[in-house]
Amino acid sequence: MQSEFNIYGQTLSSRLILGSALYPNPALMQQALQQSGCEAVTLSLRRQAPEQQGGEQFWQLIRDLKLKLLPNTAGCHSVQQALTLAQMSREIFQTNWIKLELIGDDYNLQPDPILLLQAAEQLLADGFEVLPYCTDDLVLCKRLYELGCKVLMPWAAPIGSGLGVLNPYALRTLRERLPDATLIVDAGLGVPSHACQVMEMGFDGVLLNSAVALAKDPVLMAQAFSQAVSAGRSAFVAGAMPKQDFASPSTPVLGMPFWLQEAP
Amino acid sequence: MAEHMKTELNIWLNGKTETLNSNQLSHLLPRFKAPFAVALNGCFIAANQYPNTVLKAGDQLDIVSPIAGG
Repeated sequence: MQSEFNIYGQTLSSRLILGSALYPNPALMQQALQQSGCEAVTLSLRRQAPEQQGGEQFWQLIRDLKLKLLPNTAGCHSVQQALTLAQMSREIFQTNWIKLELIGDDYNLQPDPILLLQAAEQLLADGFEVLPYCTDDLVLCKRLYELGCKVLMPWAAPIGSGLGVLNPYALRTLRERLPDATLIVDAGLGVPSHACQVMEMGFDGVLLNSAVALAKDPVLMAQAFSQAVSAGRSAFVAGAMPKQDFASPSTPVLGMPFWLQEAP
Repeated sequence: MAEHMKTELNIWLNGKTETLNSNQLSHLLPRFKAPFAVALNGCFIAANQYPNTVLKAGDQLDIVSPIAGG
């Protein structure tokens, strides 16, 4: 019943992708990732401080999980920064996948649509399989798709806000107008019902981090999101009933007792 | 092979000033733990280019490693 979830030719059985940041401790990160059933995890690169040992522990934990790695270019504000970070990521993580983040505004961490197109074009030409973190703007997403980005990752709301889907019309439009693109909602989801909502719309997957990592019980929340993503996908495949503005009785009217065809 | 230079030079290493006794990138790297990747003045330096990379005064060198990310 469930069609395949495919990212640049690699099939994933889980439609949930989780981030690896902000967990209370590394052990909880590891448990949450395991319990979510996710098969891909996002991570990043930062300057190495030789006196710090935490980085090595993180890398070992991630490797032990044997998940597919989706490195990001978080924090980049220029095309050159994103290109360089992507190239460094490819060398270390041995993957052509890159979650392209190019920030245009520091207040809401909104992607810069113009620089995003420029960077995506150069990364694709350099052999990367680009997963751009983008807004829900239809024209931007069309341009990214036409460039060769087979996967698009529009936001639901600003990163880390937990606000849920701010513009359902825009997301529904993306799904309708880009039926062949792999669409993953990335950023802004706060609770499992948000994930279920976008999966019911027909999105292919969900990427989130804060909603799980900052929950009181990240492991339980990871499970909850996993169930919500599955439920939403099943509902989309099943096909929802049509909406109407009036009531229709579900119990048959025919044969109702106490009713007389004519007045006594 | 890059030309070796004994004189001191000042560079920016991971955002901080650093005085080096060698202009060879490969002489600096043993203090860092694998895995890492290198950028010089904002441009990626592939691992196979380390032996050929010569540093000069004022260079900005970034050496990065995996961390958590969303």
